[in-house]
Amino acid sequence: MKSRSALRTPHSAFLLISPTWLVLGLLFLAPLAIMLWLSFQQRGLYGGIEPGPTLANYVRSFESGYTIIYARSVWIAVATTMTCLLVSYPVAYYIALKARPERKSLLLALVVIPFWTSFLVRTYAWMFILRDQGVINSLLMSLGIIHEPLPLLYTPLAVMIGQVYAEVPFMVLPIYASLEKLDRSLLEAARDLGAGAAAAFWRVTVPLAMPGTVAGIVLVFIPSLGTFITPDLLGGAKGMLVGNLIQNQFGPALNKPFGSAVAMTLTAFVLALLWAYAGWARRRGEEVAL
Amino acid sequence: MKRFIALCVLLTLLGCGGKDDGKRLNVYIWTNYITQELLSQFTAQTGIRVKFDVYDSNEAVLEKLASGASDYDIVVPTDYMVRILVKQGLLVPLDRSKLTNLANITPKFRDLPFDPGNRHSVPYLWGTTGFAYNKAKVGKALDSWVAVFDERWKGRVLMLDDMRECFGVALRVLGYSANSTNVSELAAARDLLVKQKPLVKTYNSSDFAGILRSGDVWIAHGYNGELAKACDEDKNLAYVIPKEGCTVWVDNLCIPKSARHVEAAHAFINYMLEGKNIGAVVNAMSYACANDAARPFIKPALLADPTRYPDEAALKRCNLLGDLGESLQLRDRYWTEVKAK
Repeated sequence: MKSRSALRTPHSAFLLISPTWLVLGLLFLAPLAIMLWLSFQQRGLYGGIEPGPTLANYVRSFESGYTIIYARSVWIAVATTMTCLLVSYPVAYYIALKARPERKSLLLALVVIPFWTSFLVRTYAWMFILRDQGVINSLLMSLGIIHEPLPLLYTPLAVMIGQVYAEVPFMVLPIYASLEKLDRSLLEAARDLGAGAAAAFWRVTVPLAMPGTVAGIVLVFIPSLGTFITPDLLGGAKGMLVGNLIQNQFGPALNKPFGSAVAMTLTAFVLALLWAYAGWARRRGEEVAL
Repeated sequence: MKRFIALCVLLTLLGCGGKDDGKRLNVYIWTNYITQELLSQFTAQTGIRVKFDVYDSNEAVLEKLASGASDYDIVVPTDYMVRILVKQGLLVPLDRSKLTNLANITPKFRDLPFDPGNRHSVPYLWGTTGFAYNKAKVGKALDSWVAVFDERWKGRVLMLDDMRECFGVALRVLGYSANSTNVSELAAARDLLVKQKPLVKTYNSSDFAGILRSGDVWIAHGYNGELAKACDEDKNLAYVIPKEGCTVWVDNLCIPKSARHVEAAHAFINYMLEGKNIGAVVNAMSYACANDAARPFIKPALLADPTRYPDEAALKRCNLLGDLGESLQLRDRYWTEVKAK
């Protein structure tokens, strides 16, 4: 008991949390501060930095040529998130509420196994599946369903497939966690009080699983918004997204300040969305899971 | 006690590993640009141990050297990047007295405009950026960049994912210089690239030869070395230096200002200037070298292949990409517009 109470003093609590702060500070806050500073500087001719301060990078980041890119990125991120939600909810629901208990860990392992392989390797695997002489086209052609290969690889559809595939586990796991905690007696009570299966699902299960669902949406939406490997490899580098724009500024365009400004704008946009959600949830009197 | 001894032994070993006796060399080089065999021979000959990292863009070299945090003794930037690195003061002048094999360099590759007098660089490998196509699928001989803008090959064209090279192609087709900094010429090139975009199956700088071989595209813009290998393996493929001309590029051995093993770096450059050694790289990597002493060591089939060693007439049509300076920003804007459409 003694050691436990010692841990509760503010001093030891601070010690315990310090590794987290160290990692966050060095690997997250410090780089973010550098980016913020960079975004107000001017570009040197060969990738260097000329002292600012200037707002020009931010002004430029709102030009119409770039807003198309943001709009496409948001669209892809929303579509990925919605598709992931539709795919993941039944999976999580089945594992949490329908599967036999001894099967659960196996099913969860199946969701996680793709993570054992590098993301890049999995994306290359999709290239082999989707290409003209790939698995899908060869199969359909040998069955005589099509005579010309379908253009699958290097299309927006391929980008969506790659994105959804990569992000689905991040949606399944938090929804599963919420559903798993669900108090079954509440569902029984709903049925006793005359609610049909559908009504019980919509009015009991869905609201109670909302924290996990929202966590899943956030976990999928944010990385999707910044993706840049998938549009390059599966999309054929034809539909530039904001991730590619930022990457180019730090690469061949030799313009770190502008790249930083776009990155900061993206960060601000995500924070604004989260903040709006938190406000909305608070007004509804829900617990904010963020 | 046993544990203590083990610890001492371990620390001593670690200490040895970390000792810097000048007999080390850190090389930063393009992917697939040197053979491990050659590096091992260098170590056997000189006692200098070599560690190498690879990169896939010139800008990565600039970034690493400009950050001041690099530990490289040899870098292999392309022509235009040599110019930038020299301007930025990131390379050391070479000590010619240590480079006894300098005379092996082919005369026409000496004293190029990006590094007058070869003060900071020695040519390593060179090549051209043209296109290769599938003769069987296309059904006729192609000799012009117009082919990559031809509606008939819609969805069968691959372009390098490279702002400089794509603008170079469009500018040449329009009859302008690939190094143009003229705003209206660049705008015209952008419009042409936007119009071309629906024909492009993919922009790709890493696997262009593989995608051409797989049949997913019929015409692929790319570097001659990889495309030459693809042409060897599939007789239906042919490489073209278009009649409008194309980029010729030279990658060069240089020593960064931050190098800590300048002596070893000179030894390495001199080693790579030996005909037998650079000849082995040509045989393995399919790119040409700018070294006359290497010719007896290069497979005759490679020397005779116009894809690897183009004739004088074809080379006359090619030119080096220049340093774009301030105009790079306009190209980047236009390139973003092409890619955002």
